[in-house]
Amino acid sequence: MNIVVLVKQVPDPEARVTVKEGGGPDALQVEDRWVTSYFDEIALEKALLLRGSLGGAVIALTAGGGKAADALRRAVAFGADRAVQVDDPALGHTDALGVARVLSAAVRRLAPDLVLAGRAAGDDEAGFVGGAVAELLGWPHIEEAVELDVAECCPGLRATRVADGAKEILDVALPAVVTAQKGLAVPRVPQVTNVMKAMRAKIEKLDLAALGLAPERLAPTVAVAGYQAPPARPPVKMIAGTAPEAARTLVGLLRDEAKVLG
Amino acid sequence: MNGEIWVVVERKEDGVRRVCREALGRAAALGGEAVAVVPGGDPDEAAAAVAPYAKRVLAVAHPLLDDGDAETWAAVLAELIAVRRPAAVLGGATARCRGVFARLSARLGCGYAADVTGLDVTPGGRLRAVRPVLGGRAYATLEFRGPTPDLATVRPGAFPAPAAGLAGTVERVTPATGALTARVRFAGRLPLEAGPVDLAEADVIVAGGRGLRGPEGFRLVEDLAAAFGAAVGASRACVDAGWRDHSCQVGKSGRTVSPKLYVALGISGAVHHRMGMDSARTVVAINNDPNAPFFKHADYGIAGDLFELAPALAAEVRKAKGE
Ligand SMILES: Cc1cc2nc3c(=O)[nH]c(=O)nc-3n(C[C@H](O)[C@H](O)[C@H](O)COP(=O)(O)OP(=O)(O)OC[C@H]3O[C@@H](n4cnc5c(N)ncnc54)[C@H](O)[C@@H]3O)c2cc1C
Repeated sequence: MNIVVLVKQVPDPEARVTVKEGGGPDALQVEDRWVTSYFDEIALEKALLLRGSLGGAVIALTAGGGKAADALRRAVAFGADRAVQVDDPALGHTDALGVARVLSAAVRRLAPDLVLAGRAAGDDEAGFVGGAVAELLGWPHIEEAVELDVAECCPGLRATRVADGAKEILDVALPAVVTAQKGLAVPRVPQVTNVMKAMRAKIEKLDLAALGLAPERLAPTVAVAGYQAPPARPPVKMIAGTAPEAARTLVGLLRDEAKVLG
Repeated sequence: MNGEIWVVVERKEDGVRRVCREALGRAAALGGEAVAVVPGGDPDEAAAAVAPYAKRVLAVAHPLLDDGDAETWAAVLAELIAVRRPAAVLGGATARCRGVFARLSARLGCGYAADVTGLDVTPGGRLRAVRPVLGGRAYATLEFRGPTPDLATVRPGAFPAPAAGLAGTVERVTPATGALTARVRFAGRLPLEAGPVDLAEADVIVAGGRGLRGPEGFRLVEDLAAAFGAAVGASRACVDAGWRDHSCQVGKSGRTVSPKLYVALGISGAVHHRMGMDSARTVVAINNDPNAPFFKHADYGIAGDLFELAPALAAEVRKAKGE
């Protein structure tokens, strides 16, 4: 089974974030620290496990220039067989829908049996790309899988997800898109030698022309008009006293001040 | 807003998901005509459940919609949208509706804002949405361009839920079945060991961390949660240690929650955890380390031993509620 894994390089969750006074579209400042999106690493690990039992190749795919290729090097360090980067100036001013169009065009060329992706990217957390790529390819999609294996009943895969307070068991024929929820696999920590080797790995490059996509297809449908800092919480009120006293004071405050009781 | 604003309504038992009611309330406030669109289920039951919250209800009946697969929902909704041309379509930021809206956006070429916490209308009559990015450390304002309808899913708890009180007119719609095929087959449903957890809809969440010292420690959390009528959450440290199911995890790699009250017991308050709960209205942190980071991000803090404080608090809550 050949698997394409969609990967994205995102700001480290611990990177410092500030919003400049004025709050325009350029007001967001993020410290220059990057990681591969957490759920993408889970998807990648699952792809490598499936390759181990079913054979085939794992192809990491990303869209974007600059730091984007680091996600591919990380994927190769994990053990991916190929790394494909779509890089084109038009990607600099598109939106998530444009990215989904680019990724689906690249997937069509790579013609895998399965696309795995994280359930949401670590930066904008929209949970958009998996479903959108499935729609553009005309493939079924299982969201937020916590288990995934070959189905016993029929050719295809059986997945489990947690929805509405229960575990749902779902069967799907291939080709399909599956997005990874925490629990699907535990990402490995790649060995240093593999990380070194990945620095020299070949990255296959594609641009819009190679994908047969006109730049107009990337015209954004949403645009950021500005950024604001999150609403600040007032300073904490520390409550002193013995346990029963502190508990009584707190309940009084929750009832009369915060008005969240009852 | 000129034109109709649709809200895709998900049912829950015999009612309506709270986040969908919240979206209906916001839609009505945006000035257009709010219409509840209910895919699947018995149309009479759907009508009865939803009509108290919307002036107009479209009950869309088809057996393939009952499984709730995003692909069939999106196919039917896209067909209805093409014919009736609403100005905007809203839904809850639930796992299902995120899948549905991603597909709608891709299929229709319309802009989509996920998990929004603010919604209004521009002078040009388009939606303007505010949504958290980077784990809630900044909020982006998004404007829509290109084809309509403008699409958005709203974060649970971001808008007030209106009380029942309307008596909407109900229209039944039967989709053209030709376009419908279910390609994800539902093979079964198993109860979760931890019991059903609905962190997204909970008004109060009591969450436990490594300070509980083991799975038995969660009995304290459960008892306090029972006193509050709350759902139980957990830090990743507890989930990874196997003390609690993944579905309870709050944070960057778990659930994002916005309850009215979040009580953290023995959780240090790492940024990854806070990313999942920073939009809670009131936060209480209980930790025996007076320098725990959580105290910088809470409304009320008690520096003390949770093994004494949790039972004392449960007793006080029960007293306050007259139990
Ligand atoms: C990519 C990534 C994603 C992550 N995602 C998440 C996530 O989704 N959710 C999440 O929670 N974490 C997440 N983490 C982990 C996060 O960074 C923290 O490690 C984790 O939240 C710590 O859990 P904790 O607070 O329970 O444990 P600890 O940090 O060990 O804190 C335990 C706390 O309990 C207190 N304590 C101990 N005994 C008592 C007592 N008797 N009474 C009162 N207090 C006591 C201690 O003072 C301490 O503050 C993520 C990390 C990474 C790298």
